[in-house]
Amino acid sequence: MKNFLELLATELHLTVTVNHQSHKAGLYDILEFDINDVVTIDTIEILPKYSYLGNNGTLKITKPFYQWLHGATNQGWLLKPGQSD
Amino acid sequence: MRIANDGGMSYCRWADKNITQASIRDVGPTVFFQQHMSEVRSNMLIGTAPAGCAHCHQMESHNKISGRQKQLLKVGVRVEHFEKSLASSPWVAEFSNPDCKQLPQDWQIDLGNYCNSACVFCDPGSSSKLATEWKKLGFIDKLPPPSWSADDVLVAEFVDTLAQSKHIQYLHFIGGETLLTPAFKRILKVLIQYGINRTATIGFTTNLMSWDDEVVELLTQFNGVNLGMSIEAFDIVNDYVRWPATMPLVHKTLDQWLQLAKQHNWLMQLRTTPTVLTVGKLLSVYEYAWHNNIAVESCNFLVDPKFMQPSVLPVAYRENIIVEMDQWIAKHATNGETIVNTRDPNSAQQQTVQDLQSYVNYLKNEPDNSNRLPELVSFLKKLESGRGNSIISYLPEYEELFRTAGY
Repeated sequence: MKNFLELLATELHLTVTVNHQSHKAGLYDILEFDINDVVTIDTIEILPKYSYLGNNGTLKITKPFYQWLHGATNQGWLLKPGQSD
Repeated sequence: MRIANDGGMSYCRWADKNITQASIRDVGPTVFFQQHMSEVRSNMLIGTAPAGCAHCHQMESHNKISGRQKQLLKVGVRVEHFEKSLASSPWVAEFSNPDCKQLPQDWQIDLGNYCNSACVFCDPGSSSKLATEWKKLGFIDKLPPPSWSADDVLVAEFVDTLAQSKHIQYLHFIGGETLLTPAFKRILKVLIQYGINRTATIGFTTNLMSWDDEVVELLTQFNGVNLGMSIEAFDIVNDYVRWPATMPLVHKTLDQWLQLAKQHNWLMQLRTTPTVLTVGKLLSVYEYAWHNNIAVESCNFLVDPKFMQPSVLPVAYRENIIVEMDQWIAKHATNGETIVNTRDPNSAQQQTVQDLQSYVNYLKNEPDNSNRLPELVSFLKKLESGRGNSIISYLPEYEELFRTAGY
């Protein structure tokens, strides 16, 4: 396993599969899907599982995918840095 | 981070209790967090596991959700997606920032050993009642020194530190018995004065032998409350292990807390510390939790005293327990992903099954440490000489086992 410093130097991608067609996306990319698509990201089911999070026929993931997944899967509070402390 | 009863601070509430890096009597919590903990952070960055994390690794070896996993989750890191979730964490820039300006947002605060229980597996540093008893029996020469929280100046400085952070999310208090500890009430009052109650969640564990209307009233003013209620078994053996508890009082107090928690939508958990004496009755706790839709959080597998660990039970005695637990799990298990967020009330029943499974794994896989039975028997006999009770009355099924070990 890489250590943290090596990890920071590594370019990481998401493997996005839409209706059985795969492509790569950046780890922090904004992602948008038609709510009727069948979608997995890194083999994690996204649609139809989270179709209820969609809006106007679209599921838009506007934050880094794994941060979004934290909320979508009800993982509790996500602490954020408080630079203004 | 954590402040232990003696004032020692450590980087994680789950870290080995013996590993503390500085005392709050010498160093302020902010300096400790920003400067003293930088060595821990640096070591982790280069891939060196801190020595204090061994208990969490043992938990994970039995598929028990560890403290490490729970704490990582709070910064968005999932062990099963480690690299990508770490790189996606809102904290990724801070992890490698050598000039840390952050303040702690999540604390475990040990308030001292004020306690009206003297649980057999506890230690004088965590129970004043047990400390007095141990001194009388000659187990210790002197009582533990007063807790840091008995020092009004230290408590005031500590609360000032909390007030500096606009991002306090969670404060978990333990004792002793929190409800009996003067500093608990004092700190709650000051947090309310500062307005921290509007956003913070208070967690605490109580022994089901105490109640305080004033503390209850203060707790209702917080954004959230995580209520931990300690019990080892819904069986008379709980009276022996959590001496001088009595099941009627425990039931009455439990019902009182349950009613209150439901009224205020507080998160409830049963907290248990399985030992060789209670692991055979442990299922009763999970059964109760399942039927009341609350989770069980048993912390790390008991470390000390070693002769009280569940693994001291001989393999032959474990077999029926494992069968009963396996049957119960088969009846109650649901398909689903591993629950790491143990504070999710919507998955309480699934968590309960998951946590029990870790004890099945433990009982199946931990080596037989029954060579420690004579130490256990010798210890219990000394305690019983003052308490006037007998383990045989509570666990007659172990009479032959304990007699063979010198009872």
